[in-house]
Amino acid sequence: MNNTAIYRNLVRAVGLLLLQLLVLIRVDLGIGSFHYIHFLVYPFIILMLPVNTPKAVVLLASFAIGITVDMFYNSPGVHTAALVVTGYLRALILRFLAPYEGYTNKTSPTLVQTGFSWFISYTSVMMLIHCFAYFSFEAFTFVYFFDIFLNTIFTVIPSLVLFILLHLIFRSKF
Amino acid sequence: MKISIKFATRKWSKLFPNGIFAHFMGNVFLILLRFGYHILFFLLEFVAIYLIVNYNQSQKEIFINSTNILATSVNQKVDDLERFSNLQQTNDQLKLENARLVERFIQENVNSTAQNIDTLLSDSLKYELIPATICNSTYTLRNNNLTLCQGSSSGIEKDMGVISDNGLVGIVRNVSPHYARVMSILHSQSLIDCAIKRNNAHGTLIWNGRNSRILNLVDIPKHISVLQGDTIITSGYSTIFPRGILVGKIKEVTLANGSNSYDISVELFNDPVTLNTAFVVRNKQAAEQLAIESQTTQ
Repeated sequence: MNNTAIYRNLVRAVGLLLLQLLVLIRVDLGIGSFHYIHFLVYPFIILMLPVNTPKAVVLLASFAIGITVDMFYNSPGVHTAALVVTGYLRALILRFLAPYEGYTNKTSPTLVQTGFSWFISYTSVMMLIHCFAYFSFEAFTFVYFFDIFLNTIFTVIPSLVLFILLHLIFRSKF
Repeated sequence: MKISIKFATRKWSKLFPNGIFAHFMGNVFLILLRFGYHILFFLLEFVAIYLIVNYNQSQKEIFINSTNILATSVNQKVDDLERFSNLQQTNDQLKLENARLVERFIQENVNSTAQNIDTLLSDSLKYELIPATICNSTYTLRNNNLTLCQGSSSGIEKDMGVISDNGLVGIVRNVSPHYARVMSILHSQSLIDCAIKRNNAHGTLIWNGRNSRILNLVDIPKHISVLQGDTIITSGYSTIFPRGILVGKIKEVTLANGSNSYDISVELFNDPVTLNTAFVVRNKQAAEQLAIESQTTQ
């Protein structure tokens, strides 16, 4: 990871955290008893880290970002636990989705570098993991499995769409 | 991975010179290098869940509830197991307790005025009951016998009566240190003195060998009123059985032509076939009574 990559990831982290904690935290799309839609964009900070980032750094970053989000959401540990799970499983998912010729040193799993179909499969799998973990930790019991399931589905899709839009708007040359 | 471990070994062996401690530290570093990522994950996850459980009200309640349910169910399982393993002991205790209760009942029947029966000391009681287990019995033959699993070491002697909690069983004929042979009431030589509870008329209970629930009461003269459904109790006219043990009720009364006494069939309260516990009645004054009786008859 060279300096440009660090700089770019830091800017992305700050931007997404500001968006999440100042704007999306206030968005409520609930209609009547249908209150399953949430926007979670902060996991994309972890998702978009370069492929050759050391695994321990990914975990520590997950923990730090999770704690930050939890401070604003007033739910100590819930986002942290989910994001640490996501960061832990990132290496595994990346290995499963590895292209035939492998990753190069500079690869970041971004839309521009990897292509649309790979990007969609990678981000949707990761977001499913994250949202399922998050809503499970929030409920802390599988008694409400159906609620957890609905929450996961209706959070993954709008979050993904929102992030892709942002990604296209702030697209860089690389 | 192999290459990196080799490299790491070389690197750390430079840092830690020879010796067991150095070797150990090198291994620790290798393990950290290999599994540090996973250890870090579990560490961070533990911290996060600790935060969840400690600082969120609903999750905290769920956690405490679940652990409570788990602990309670485990405790209950252990309790059940313990109770099961103590079952034999509990059973013995209950039998002894039963014996004490029946003892009190008998005592009340025998002489309710002569002695102060409120005392809990069993020394003051005339009759003592020894709980026993029936370990062998016959009931289909003409002459039936039982074996008790307690013998003279438990205090059982020859010619003691054997009762169950609601009826008669038999009379002890032979005793060894750990076993006792009992002549059942379903035996051709069994003659037990019984009485009708209502008017205290005495007769002898015998078995005619047909039905194990039906015995016959003979020698009751025909001037005494005998009704169907009358209760039969032991009369206490011997040293074997105390007075007042419930035996059965009259099922049928017939008077044969020219006969001087009734022919009464008695239905037993207990079923001798299904018994497995019994009490041996020990009469503490039996020897005294027998001695004075044999003196006078001479």
